[in-house]
Amino acid sequence: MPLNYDQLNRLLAGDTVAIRGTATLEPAGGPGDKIFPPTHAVDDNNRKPGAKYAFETRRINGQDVICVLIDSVQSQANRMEEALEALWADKRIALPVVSVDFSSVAPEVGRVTSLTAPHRIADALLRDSLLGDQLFRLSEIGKSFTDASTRNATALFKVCPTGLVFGLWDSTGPKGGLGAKFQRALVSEIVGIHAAHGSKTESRIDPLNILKKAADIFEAEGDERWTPDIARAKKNSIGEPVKFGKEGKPSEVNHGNVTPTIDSVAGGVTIDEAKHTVVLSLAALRRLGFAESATEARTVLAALGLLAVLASESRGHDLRSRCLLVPKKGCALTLEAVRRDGETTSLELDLAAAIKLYNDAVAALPPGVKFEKPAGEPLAELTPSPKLAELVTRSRALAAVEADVAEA
Amino acid sequence: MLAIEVELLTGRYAATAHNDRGRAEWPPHPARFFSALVAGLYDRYDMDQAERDALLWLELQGPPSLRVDPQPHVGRRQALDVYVPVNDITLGGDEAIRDAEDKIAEAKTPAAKRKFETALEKAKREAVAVDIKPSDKAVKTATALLPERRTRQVRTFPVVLPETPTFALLWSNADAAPHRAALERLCARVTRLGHSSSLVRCALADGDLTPTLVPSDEGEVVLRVVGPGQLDRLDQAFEHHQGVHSRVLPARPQRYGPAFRKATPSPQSASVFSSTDWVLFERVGGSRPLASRTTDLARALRGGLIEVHGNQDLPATLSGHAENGPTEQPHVAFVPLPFVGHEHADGALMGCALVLPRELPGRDRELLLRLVAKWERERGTDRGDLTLAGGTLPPFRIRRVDVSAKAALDPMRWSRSSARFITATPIALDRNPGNLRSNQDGTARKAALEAQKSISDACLYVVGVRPVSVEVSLAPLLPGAQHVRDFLPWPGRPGRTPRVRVHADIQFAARVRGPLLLGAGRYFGLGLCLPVEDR
Repeated sequence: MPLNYDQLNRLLAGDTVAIRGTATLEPAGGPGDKIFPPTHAVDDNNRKPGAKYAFETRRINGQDVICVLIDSVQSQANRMEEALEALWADKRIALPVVSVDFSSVAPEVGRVTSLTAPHRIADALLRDSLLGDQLFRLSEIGKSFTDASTRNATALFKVCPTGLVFGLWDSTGPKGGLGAKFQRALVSEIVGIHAAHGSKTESRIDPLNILKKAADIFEAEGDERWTPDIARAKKNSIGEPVKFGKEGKPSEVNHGNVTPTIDSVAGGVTIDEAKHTVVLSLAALRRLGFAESATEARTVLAALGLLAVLASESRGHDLRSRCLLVPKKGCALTLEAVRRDGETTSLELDLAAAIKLYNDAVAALPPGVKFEKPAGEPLAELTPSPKLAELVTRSRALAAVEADVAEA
Repeated sequence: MLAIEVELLTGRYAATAHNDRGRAEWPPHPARFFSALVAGLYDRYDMDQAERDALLWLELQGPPSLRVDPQPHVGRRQALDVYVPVNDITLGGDEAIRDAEDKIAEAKTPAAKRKFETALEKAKREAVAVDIKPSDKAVKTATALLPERRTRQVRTFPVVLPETPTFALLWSNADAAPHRAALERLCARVTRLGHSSSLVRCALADGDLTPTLVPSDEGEVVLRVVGPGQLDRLDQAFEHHQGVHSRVLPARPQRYGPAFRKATPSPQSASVFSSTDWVLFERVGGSRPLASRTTDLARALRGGLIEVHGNQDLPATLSGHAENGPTEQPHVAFVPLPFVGHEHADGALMGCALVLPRELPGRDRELLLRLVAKWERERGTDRGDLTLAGGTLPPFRIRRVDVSAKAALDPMRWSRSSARFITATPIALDRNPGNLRSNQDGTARKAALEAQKSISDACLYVVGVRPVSVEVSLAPLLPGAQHVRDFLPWPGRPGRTPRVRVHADIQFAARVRGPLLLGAGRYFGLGLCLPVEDR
């Protein structure tokens, strides 16, 4: 029987400390296939094979096993928030969402919401946008959560409940460092077991077989941008033709072959399997204080956390280029409730049941903390201020010009 | 018996070591756990007195034993740099508006109010209106606001992955009966330990748990623990940092060793100086003198305390002076601590310590500690920095610390028991042994024997046993230590004969508990010996 509203209430009221989920995944290409974990910055001096990946040793069954981080806590949180946004945009769940639409100014940015902005509702982008004709943090909604704290989280619950699940620090708002600070209650991480680093190759064969010495390339006027014809080249202040890029080679305009190289610093890894662990701390939710309806609010937050996990799970783990993981047969995500004394009981919940659980919890909210807007409708629609819009347009124009100059 | 069990729900523990930001802490330090309990205490507006009492009681129970995976059973994640998006980029419009609104509210006259209202209108316009000629900075800010282009700042997240995801803190002699219920409630509110991603389950444990790591003077692991007054210290510190500003966890160091180590027989002989009761100061700036300036620094340290004390007489145990001249009893030693004994040691003074005699009366100890506190208050900067200077010594800035990351400032480095000690700074001999540098073999040899005898007497005086052998040398015997000729004459006062100084390699028959401070200058940094492994 899937977990229902009453049962979740009882878990929160009782001595269940957390709900933990584990799944075993493998590369979509089967065990032993290569995948690409996230890379980290390394010194140019440290070009040891695999140096860019976050390797770790784990003790498994008494042995040291090399593992690698495949998706971090922060990255998993971002994915869960995106999954929630998709459900909300699909009108399947009601959730307070503040959104700002940049499509008219920067189409590639599109709409940014309190679910996708880097710092959630406290993000600088929302702060510099307008609700009506007021800057967001000076509006009613923007002011309402300035004084939120763990002792009274009601205001934040009404405008950004995901902030109470994934954590929030309004460190650059009106109160500076003393602004609303909430620790996360949901932690999810994917780690690859028995990892061995590999190498990848990079090269290009030019279909036109243009040689390096074929021609000198010069800058040209207007839309033409480049030309091999010295007569049509742009001239500099002393009448000399200006070479394109650094040396005027065909490769600077993306023609010609690229010598094959082997990269083993970030050449992917092979793993036996990947372990996905996710923990929702009910104890952390219990520590949140509310001015009213604390029980109902906490149940909504717990249901929201579980929904986030299952929604993200259902979208699959297509983590990045060449990193698609699928559940191993029979090892899909299973949930268990962890009690104060360490005992566990298994729980059943799939995406459909999680959506129902969440919707039931939201419906049960008393008037003082109800979510005002129906599913799919933002709590507040912000617009970029004219100032911000103009600056972004300018910067995009600059970026477009810079992008034409290829790296040597 | 009080046992608190902690389960790492995510299987990992993410907490940065207090003395190395690139490394994760393991085992978890009891002081950190106490802070987590305190955080739970203040969850609500109205604090529960029973819970506060429980914490005040826990402070007094001494350092716990731990049941925890030892280092070899713990996996680690490489602490690589991660780039996280910042949030302090802004075009700043809302701040200007808020300031203007505040000014209007505070305006005293209608004229002032009108002036500020105009300013407010202006601020509101400028916050949103298009800038005809925006500055480069404004354009860059706008770009950096977009999520994909947001500026990022480096952070590291060191993580350990113990084989057993649970560990426990055990106080075997504590009777927690009156406080159990309150402690249960507090433990239920410990939801994380370390970084917010280290979610934990915490509860009182019933069963008999055997410890794997126990407090031990011989131990190699130093963990931060709490003592009486910790809750007050945390409360006071919170006034300053508000949970936001950077701060250092107040704590005291405690050595831990494996619970099942074969009990090495306690050394019979111990120094008259305490092996743990030191007041430590770490160098935080100013000059970097080498060990050869040790007596200058020691005098400056003593001078600093006497100066702030004023004219009242210090007890003999602190000043070293009785009515009729120098006192017989051991008194406080002022010991600058050099970095010696390691492959790359350079002999620089890393800080200094007040080493108290083992049997210092409680009252005198109180007086000294209060004197140090007075010195910090009256002569220290906001951060508690003190400056030592005097004579030809360039200013040397220090700060009192409970625990230091520097090896040279670890009391155990100098106090652990050993059968062999080598001088870090030369011993100033009580009697002139003769000419150690003589070209005539006979003379030099006789002087060496005299020196050995003198040192043997000094050992008897300080630790109560004679060594089986002493080798003397004018050249240093430890990496980083300096030749005796580099040291200024001691006592270096007009009318007093300078002592002959020698380095020595001293071997005892059985282990002796340090610290070993020998010879005439032992209260001023000379004759400081490092315990080393046997030949």
